[in-house]
Amino acid sequence: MKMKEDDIRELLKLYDLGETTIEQEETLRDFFLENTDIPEDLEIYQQMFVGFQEAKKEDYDEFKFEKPKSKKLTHQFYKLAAVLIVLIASSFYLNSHYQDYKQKEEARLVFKQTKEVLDKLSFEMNKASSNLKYINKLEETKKRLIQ
Amino acid sequence: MLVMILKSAATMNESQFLNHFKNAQPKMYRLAKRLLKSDDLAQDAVQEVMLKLWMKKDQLSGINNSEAYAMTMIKNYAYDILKSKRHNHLELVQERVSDSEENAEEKLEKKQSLALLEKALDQMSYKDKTIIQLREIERFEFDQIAEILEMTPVNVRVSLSRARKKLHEKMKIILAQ
Repeated sequence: MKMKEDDIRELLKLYDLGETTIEQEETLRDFFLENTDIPEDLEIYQQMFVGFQEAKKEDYDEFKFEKPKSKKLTHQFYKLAAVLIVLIASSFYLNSHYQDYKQKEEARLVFKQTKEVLDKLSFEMNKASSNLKYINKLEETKKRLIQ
Repeated sequence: MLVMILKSAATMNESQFLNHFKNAQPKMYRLAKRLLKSDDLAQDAVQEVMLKLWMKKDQLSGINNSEAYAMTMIKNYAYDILKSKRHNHLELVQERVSDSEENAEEKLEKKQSLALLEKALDQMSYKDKTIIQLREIERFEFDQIAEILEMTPVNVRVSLSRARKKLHEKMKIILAQ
């Protein structure tokens, strides 16, 4: 479908005024894409239409709902982080309590041992002091013998 | 037909939802990339808008053109970024321009035309870029563009006419350099 150059020039006037339809613009596009010997003053239009054609070729990888998934993942990550923080904090807390408990337990043990030693000591002392009553007997016997 | 699609949109599952926006996604991506000039930013923009659409999927049945609706959302998303990062954006423009300048000579005729077009577009306002992208590259009808840009169809024609003339002039100037 070769268009006469005059018809093309008419269409280009309308085109510049924004008055062409999509179909008329297709006609212009076809003319400039299919012809190689374009009048010099129309070459800029050829560059334009070829450029428009090329610009539409750039494609796009389809959108695939990646974002909501990654959002969920970060959500999971935050949950995990929160759990970890609670665990670490409570382990510190429990550990300090356990240390406290251990110290008390040790103190109790030492106290018990000390008490046992002291008990034993006092028992031995009592035993020893009960033996002292014989000192009185010695005194009595001595008096009796001297008189 | 449209009514049927929209009725089913009320109870869409993930794969139906993705299928529903299958054709819109490359268009969203290209508009975001045209405006933001960064592959990463454009991909993020599509992700964000798709998630917003997914969240609103029950309301989509009340919208009669979900593709235009998605394009409006991506346009607004990109405009917000451009408004908040004006300086950053300008730096990227510089980068991109010198890049395409370097490669233009080595590339084939088609790539040269694309490079020329992109270089000219880079020098235009983001509103001009958007309207060129929607009409010339994505080939939307005037009433759809009107919906996306929240303008009247008459204003779309006027803005498009201005943008085409500017683009034409910029391309000529670049070629003459």
